[in-house]
Amino acid sequence: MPRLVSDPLMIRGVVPVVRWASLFRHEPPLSAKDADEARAAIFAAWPDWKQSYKTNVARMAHVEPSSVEVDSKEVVRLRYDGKTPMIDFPRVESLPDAAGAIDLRFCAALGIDNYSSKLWTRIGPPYWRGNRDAPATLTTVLSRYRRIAERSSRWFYDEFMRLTGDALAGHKRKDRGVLEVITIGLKIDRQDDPTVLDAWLFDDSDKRQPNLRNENLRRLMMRISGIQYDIRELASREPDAFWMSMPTAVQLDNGDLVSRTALYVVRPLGEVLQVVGVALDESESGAFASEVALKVSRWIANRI
Amino acid sequence: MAKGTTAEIAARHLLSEAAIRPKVNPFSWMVEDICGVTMVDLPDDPMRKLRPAIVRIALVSMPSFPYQIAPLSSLVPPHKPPAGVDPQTYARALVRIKRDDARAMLRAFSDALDVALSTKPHIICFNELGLPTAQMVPMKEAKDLAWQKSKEHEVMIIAGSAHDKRTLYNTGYIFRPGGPREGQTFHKMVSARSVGELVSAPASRRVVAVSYAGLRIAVMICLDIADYASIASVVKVADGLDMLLVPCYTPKFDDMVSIAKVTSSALPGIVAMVNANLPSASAKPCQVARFGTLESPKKTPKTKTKPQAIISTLEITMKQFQKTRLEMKTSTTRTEIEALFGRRDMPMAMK
Repeated sequence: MPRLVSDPLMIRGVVPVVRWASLFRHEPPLSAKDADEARAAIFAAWPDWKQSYKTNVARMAHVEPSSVEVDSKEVVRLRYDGKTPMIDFPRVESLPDAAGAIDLRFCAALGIDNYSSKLWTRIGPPYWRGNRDAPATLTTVLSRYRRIAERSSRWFYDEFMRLTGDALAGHKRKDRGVLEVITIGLKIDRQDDPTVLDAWLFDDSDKRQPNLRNENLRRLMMRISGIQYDIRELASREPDAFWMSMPTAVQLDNGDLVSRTALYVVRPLGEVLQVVGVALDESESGAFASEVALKVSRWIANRI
Repeated sequence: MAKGTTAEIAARHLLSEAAIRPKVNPFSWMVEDICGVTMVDLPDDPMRKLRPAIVRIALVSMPSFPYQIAPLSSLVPPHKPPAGVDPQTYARALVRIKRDDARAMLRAFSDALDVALSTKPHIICFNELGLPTAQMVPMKEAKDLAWQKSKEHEVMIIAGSAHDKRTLYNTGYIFRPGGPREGQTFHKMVSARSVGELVSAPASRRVVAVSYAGLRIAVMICLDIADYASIASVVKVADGLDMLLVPCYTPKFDDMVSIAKVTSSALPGIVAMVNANLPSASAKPCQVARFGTLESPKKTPKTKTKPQAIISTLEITMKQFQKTRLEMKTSTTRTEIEALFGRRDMPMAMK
């Protein structure tokens, strides 16, 4: 007998996180030395470039430059995700109580050998907002975040090419594409029984399929992905699309470190690979959406 | 040559990777119903911002002191033993240290703490039963000292564990800057039957963890590392844990090395076990497994107090640690670990 879905979950808030990446490969492929020269070019340009950084980000987000600030504790830094050099840029965050609040950051992942490079833009609500919006505002907030992410990403791409032009002069760019990862954290009260969360997202068949009997889940996934047809027809309408679960550890307010699973749909749309997911988030900080968004982005980025 | 747009080719490739269904040990599925992991600090704890480039950990192997085994009972007075119940089931056996030896143990603890602090560590970890006790209760002076030094030197101190006649538990104590003066506790879940230890354990099985100096560290006592449910519960949330610290007191210490190696590979991260200084046994004072490989911590000068403690130090270069951890986490060749613990941290495709 299939599990009966009574939808007992009360959604108290939403945490939309949008990650947008411009993808491209280098021809000939980048070596570790090439990547290091690009990094050096960025580091050398940063002292001047940072003067206009805040203003440009504010312009992309259509907010007043005086309403945002660059995190003074952060610097441009190099780290490695596996073998991939990653250049992180400081976070730009709205000041407390600013209208249209954002938390935005950029990261350049330089794919060496046959992996593609990814220029990431990440946008979500700032931590001080309690990291959540009212459920009714989801469509408005999400479409605004997506517009800002796309605009900012295009600007970041142009700037990155300008700054690393000399360092990467011998490499053409090919196989260009876009990766858009949208994660919606649904803020709910802490559940003592995690199977309630699983039942909302997944069915109880051996194959653990998405629970498309859940009308609220269907409507939400269609709303955030922009799918116009009944999402139950996904497999027949879009042969290359597929559903995917992503487990991630999250700390709850009582201190428990637990594993929770988000549900994503992965679908190619022209040159865009769209990855749209829902995470039921019991944490007060709304951290789960952010954590799982990072994890799914990293998992995909390490494979393309 | 693959056909389609870049996005279509990428989607097909991702599907093939996420569709892998490794064969999984059936015992791994219901671990969370048996044991959980609880962080003792909150996400906004100010000490979570402490991010040294190199983390130093001092592992303190306290000398052993003469002790007796005290027979106790979990039966609550005035109840009489229920008919038909084997008395062995409520028998408890805890370590008792004589008053003079307790004072000597406190001196050794204080001396060892000073020598450990001289290595400028971020974290100090004493062995199991390394916390001085008097009258079978952890000594207030020892706990106060650990708390004071933790505050003064901005160092997290896992002050070893002690048998406690009040709870009948083997209880470990964590003292950290900003943490409570009385410390935060964790308890041994499994009695070491072969050496006659018979302790009670909390009804709700929990592994305690704490975030400090950029490392997310779970702690468990000695034989608990050999308990599948405890280790699997740690591995299940290994996205949120880097390290396992294990205070031990056992002559069979070296037998636990293979578990440390597997667990350090499963996290992936570091498992550091610190034993008591047991000159009569061949066991080493500590064993450290990093990403599946054993390594030798540095030894520092011994303490002056007789009998002596041994202090070993471990350094973790955080940039390198994070790089290796990410490499291992994203590796597609972790089948042995997946078979043991299940596919805890990887996505699954549904088509």
